[in-house]
Amino acid sequence: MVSLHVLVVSLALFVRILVGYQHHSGEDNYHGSKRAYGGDYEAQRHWMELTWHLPIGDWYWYDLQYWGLDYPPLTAYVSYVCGALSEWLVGPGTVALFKSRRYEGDPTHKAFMRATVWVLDALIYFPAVFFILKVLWQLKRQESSSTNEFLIAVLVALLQPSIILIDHGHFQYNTVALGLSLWSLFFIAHPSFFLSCIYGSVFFSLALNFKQMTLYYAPVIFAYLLGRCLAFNNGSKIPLWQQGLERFAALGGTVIITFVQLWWPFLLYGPRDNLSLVEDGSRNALRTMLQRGTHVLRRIFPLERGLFEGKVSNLWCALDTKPINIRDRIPADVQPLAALAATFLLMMPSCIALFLIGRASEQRKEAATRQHAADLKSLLWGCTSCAFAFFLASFQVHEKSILLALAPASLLVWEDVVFCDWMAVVATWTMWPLLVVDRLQLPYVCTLIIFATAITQLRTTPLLQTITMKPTDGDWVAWCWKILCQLSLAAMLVLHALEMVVPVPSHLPDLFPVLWSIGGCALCCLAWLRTVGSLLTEGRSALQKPKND
Amino acid sequence: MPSTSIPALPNTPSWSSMTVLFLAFSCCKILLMPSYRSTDFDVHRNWLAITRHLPIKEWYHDDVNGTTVHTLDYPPSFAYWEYLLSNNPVTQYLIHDAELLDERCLQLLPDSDNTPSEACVIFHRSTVICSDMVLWWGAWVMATSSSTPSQVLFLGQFPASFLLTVFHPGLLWLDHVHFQYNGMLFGIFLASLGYLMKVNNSSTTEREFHKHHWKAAVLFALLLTMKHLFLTLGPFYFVYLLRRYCLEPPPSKQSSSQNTPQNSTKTIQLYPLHLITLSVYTGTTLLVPFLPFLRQMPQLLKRLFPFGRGLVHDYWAANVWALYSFVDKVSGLAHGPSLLDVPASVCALLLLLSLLPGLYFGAWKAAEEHDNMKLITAVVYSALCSFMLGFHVHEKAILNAIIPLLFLVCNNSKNTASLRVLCFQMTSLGLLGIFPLLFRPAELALKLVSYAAYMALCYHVLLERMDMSRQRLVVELLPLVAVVVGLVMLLEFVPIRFYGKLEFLPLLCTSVGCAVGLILCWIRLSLWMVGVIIG
Repeated sequence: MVSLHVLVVSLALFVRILVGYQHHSGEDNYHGSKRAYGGDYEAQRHWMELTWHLPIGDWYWYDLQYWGLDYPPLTAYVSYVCGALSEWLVGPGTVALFKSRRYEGDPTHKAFMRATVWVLDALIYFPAVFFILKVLWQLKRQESSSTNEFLIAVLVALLQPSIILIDHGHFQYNTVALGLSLWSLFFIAHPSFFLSCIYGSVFFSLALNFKQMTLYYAPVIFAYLLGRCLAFNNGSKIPLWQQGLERFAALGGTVIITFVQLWWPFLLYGPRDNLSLVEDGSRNALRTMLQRGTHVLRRIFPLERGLFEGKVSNLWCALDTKPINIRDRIPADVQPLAALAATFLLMMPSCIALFLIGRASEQRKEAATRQHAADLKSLLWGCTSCAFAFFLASFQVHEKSILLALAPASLLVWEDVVFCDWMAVVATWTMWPLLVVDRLQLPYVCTLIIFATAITQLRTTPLLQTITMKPTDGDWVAWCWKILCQLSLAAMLVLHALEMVVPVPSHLPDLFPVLWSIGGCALCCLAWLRTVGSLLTEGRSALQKPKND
Repeated sequence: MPSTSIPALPNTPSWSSMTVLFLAFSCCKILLMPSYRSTDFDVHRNWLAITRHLPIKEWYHDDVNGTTVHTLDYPPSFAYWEYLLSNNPVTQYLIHDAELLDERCLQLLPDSDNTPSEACVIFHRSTVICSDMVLWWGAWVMATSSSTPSQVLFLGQFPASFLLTVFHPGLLWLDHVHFQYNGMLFGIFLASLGYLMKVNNSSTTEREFHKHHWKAAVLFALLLTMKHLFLTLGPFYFVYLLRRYCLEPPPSKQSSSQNTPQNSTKTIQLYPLHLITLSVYTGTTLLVPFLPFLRQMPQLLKRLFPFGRGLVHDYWAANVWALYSFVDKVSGLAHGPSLLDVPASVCALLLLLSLLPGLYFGAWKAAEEHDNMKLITAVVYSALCSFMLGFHVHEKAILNAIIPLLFLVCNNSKNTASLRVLCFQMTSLGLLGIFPLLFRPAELALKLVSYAAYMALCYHVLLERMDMSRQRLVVELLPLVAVVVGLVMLLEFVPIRFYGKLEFLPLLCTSVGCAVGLILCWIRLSLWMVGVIIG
């Protein structure tokens, strides 16, 4: 069935390439910021330009006012390679230092930029989705089920409208970070600890170093790995504390080595003198290195930007509407703490559950593949839940961060198909205000229709069929879930209709973005509850396991 | 995803599935709106302007005072189609009431200043997307015309041939990137063939016997008055309809063991009433569109048949003349004096001669034996001949052969492996031959990915479940894959500056490579048609 594998990959790429023909963020400086030209597209192009031409010490210091580099080192290295390719394949004009600013309108260059995204997507995200679903398929498959069902699940997961719209329309490299994170989940969940968890933590360190936003997964992954370190292992003669120490040291060492490899140039090399911003002439090498390091960190985590930016579908933004105005009631210096506390509260269920699952994971007497699948499934639920916790309550959240919750959730088709499809729609819908700014309304409709076609025409249990079917009488949770799904889909459509029909009142210019933010927040809370629900079940079964043996 | 290829007898038309699929694929086409468009866009935009602003008698004369080369050079019915697009309530509404479309979009403009607005592009592209409904209808008529079980695919048990036609990347590139209305024309063409085939079902009543033949003839006549490229299929239609409709009794008048070819072959008897009705229908459809232009026939013909253009197109279509020109060029380099010039008349003569076997072994035999497979074979053969030997052939003309060929293979329960391989080879080479049409690097990924997706689908439908030895498959496909990969590398991946003075080399290699392959396929098809089965 090689041909069908090729077909799935090419179809997924086809839609990406089609979306690539649309406007990118900040094209013609449409709705661009006043400070710097364009948007994420120009930023990424600019990073290619500066990394390709400047010595590595200057990367985080060069002209910070014009799209200064503010992503972690791995992104910078990737930009360097892309810059070289851009000069070689498209022409030196595309990345000429300073002169290439606002380089736009060349279809070949745009196609090149788009290609860098989909090539990385296809190399990292596609295989991660493929292999994770292949593992989960072990739990699901029956004698009668054909491989097609698996391939269809892969295709549907690769057609997620929100991921396609942000990466291939708006222009970002989220699939690289998401793909690396999924790879790390794939390895971490493997029953054999040493090799797998170490591979997994290498991948997760790479993900963190590509995009700091993957920190949303960190608590869950940490909790699970901690659980694995302290895993009950009846067969082994090593005492638990020794096992825990060994494993923890191995993991810590791996993470540190990976980080050092990626970071050392930025610690050893500072900016050249003509660009120098700090370096107070101190002779203390360690202190200089520390200064350089904190500078890069401050670039990556700009805490001074405020509780939230724009209109995001999270708690803070929703609570900032007229009667409550939470941003004015809490003092600015307490805000980060409040955000931290709320996030901590919301992420607890996933962390506790995954810790317990991690501890119990090596005790089961199952086939390795089934064990791998069971843990992988729990990790996906946990990552979704934790990412939602951050998205809803943490500091400085961006609309696009919902992708972090969506990516693991999109692989849970065989766990809860309704949740999975519903999430895809919700995530896309919450991005509507952003997509309007990017002039991606038409691709929004088109990718949603293509996705809907895929789930209704290809799958044997399509969304429509599932939400119209009758749950069994006693199962009130299923009833509520079904009704909520239908209601929320209707509400999303109604808001779209209202926005088209009702003119915005002059004293409420942000009416619709605010409605979007409140509605989106409610839907995300609902989704978070759903993940907590399934984590409860998973955690409980993990607790029961030891007693059985 | 293709689930199984279990033949399901009645193809149950699921309208909701069909609508959803059409909508989804239209979305893909909508997303292609900002992609490359050729000068054909300006051509059709100019035709809209001509039909909107000029009286009908000037349509074939006007060239905006010599400032445009995009003059009307399609037959009248196509001009009426453009008239319909430029003068209908919706267009009027868009321009005047909604003010969504600028008036300038439909104005007569010189070539030097005809850059369309974004709204204009969207409007124009939408007409192509909507007109694809005709393609879907035609493909459906054709795919469901045969009572023999057809191979079905995923998505609500659609016939494989139907899906392979409506998702054809050749049509996608030509219509929705390059810009033309081939989908609509193919819809009419396939519907016409479908009606011809419907009659050959054993359950055909006398009423259907007449109606379907009339429909087929009228549709084909209409097609001719829209695009004269299909003229080379005229002889096929003539012979087939003559034998099948005019020299044969309708079903009910046959003996009790009706529709058994053995009985009907014995007596060939002319049914004058059939001949007359058919002639009237066809003649009317052919003539009426030309009526307003009777006085300017010479001018019209000059526009329709610009013989001054030369034997081959700028980019050589992968046909016999490409090989000829290649030999010409090589001998020119070696000795100086080149081969003879081939005039249009010689082309026409050669073409007619090559059509003859198709007319007897294909059309006549098909009509005699009520054999739909022979019918399609004849169509494919005729289209291939006109592609191979025609004068100034465009590379897209290969679609006339490779699209009907899909129906021959997928609707055939007892087809041979060699036919499937042939279809796969012709499709891959034919599509590769269209690659140079979209020459921008920005369309490279689109071309490659849609090509890969389609060929994977074709492989799944045509070859994957075949009882074919691995050795045979390797022998049949390995050279093909090598040629395709090699040519794609040469054409798309080696930077043009590496060729230096030989910058024509990649294009030349593509047309010659595809030409050799397609000529081999042509020979194989001819042999199959006359009854020699290889493999």
